[in-house]
Amino acid sequence: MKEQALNSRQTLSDNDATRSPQRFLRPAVDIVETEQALTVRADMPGANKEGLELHMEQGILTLKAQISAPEDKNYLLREFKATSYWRQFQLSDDFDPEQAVAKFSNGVLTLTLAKREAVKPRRIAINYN
Amino acid sequence: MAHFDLFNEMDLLRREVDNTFRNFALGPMSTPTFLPGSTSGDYPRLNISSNENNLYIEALMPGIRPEDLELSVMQNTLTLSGERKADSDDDNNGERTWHRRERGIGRFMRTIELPTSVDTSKVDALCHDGILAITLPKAEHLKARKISVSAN
Repeated sequence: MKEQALNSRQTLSDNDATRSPQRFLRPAVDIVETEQALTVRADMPGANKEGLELHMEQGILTLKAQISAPEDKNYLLREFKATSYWRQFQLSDDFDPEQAVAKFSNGVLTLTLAKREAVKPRRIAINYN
Repeated sequence: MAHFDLFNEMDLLRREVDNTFRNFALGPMSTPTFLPGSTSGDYPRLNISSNENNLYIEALMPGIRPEDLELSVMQNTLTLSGERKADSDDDNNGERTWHRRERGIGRFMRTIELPTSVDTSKVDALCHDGILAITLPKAEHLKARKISVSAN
C-alpha cells in the first residue's frame, strides 16, 4: 500500500499545506493494515463532535478537528494549548470509502476502511486427482 | 532478494529525523501527543490555572480509559498515574502491517506539588474527549474572610 504524508514540511507546520492563517497540529497516528481492513487511529485530545471532520477525496484522506480557543485563564503552568488538528494521507485504491466506519472515544479517532473485495487475499483450492 | 528502494529509504530516514526532532521544533506547545518512552519531558502534559476559590488542572490523556487512571491527592501533592493500553484488536494474531506507529503506549506517573493547600475531600475529576479536568477547592483557611469588628 502506498501511504505517505503529502508534504514533508507538514512536520514543522501545516500552514503551508492548508494555506490557512490558522495554526494546526499534526495528530499522532497509528496506521495498521490487516488482510481485511486498514485502521487509522489518531490522538486528538480536546476535539469534539462539533469540530471533527473526515474527508476522503481522490484517494486523499483528511483528518480535521476544529477546536475553539478556550477563554483566557489565570495560568500557573501551561504545557499545552488547544489547537485545531489537521493531517492528510494518500491512500491506495484498495480501500472502499463507502465502507468506512469512524468512531471517537476518549480523545482518539478510529477509522476503519474495509478493503475492496477484489484485493482481499484469497486461497484457491486445488483439486488433485 | 531484498530490493533496495531509494525512495523508500529516503522516506524512512525523513520519518526518523521527524521523530527525533518532534519535540524540539516549536517547543512543547506543538506536541499534543501522549508518548511515554519517546520523550524526555514530563507527561501527561498539564495546564494549571486558578481563581480565588479553586485550582484547576487539565491533563492531556487521549486513549486512556478512566478506569485505567489513578489520581491521588495528599496534602499538597497530586499524583496522576495510569496506563495507556494497546487497543484490543491489536492483540489479535494474524498478519498485519504497521504503516505508522506514532502513538505511544505504556505506564506513566507524574507528581506535582500544588501551589496552595486544597480541600482533599472535595476534589472532583472528570474525563472528557481525552482531557482530564480536575477541580481542587482551595482550603477554607486560605480564603479571605471578612471579620466584623464590634465595639464595646
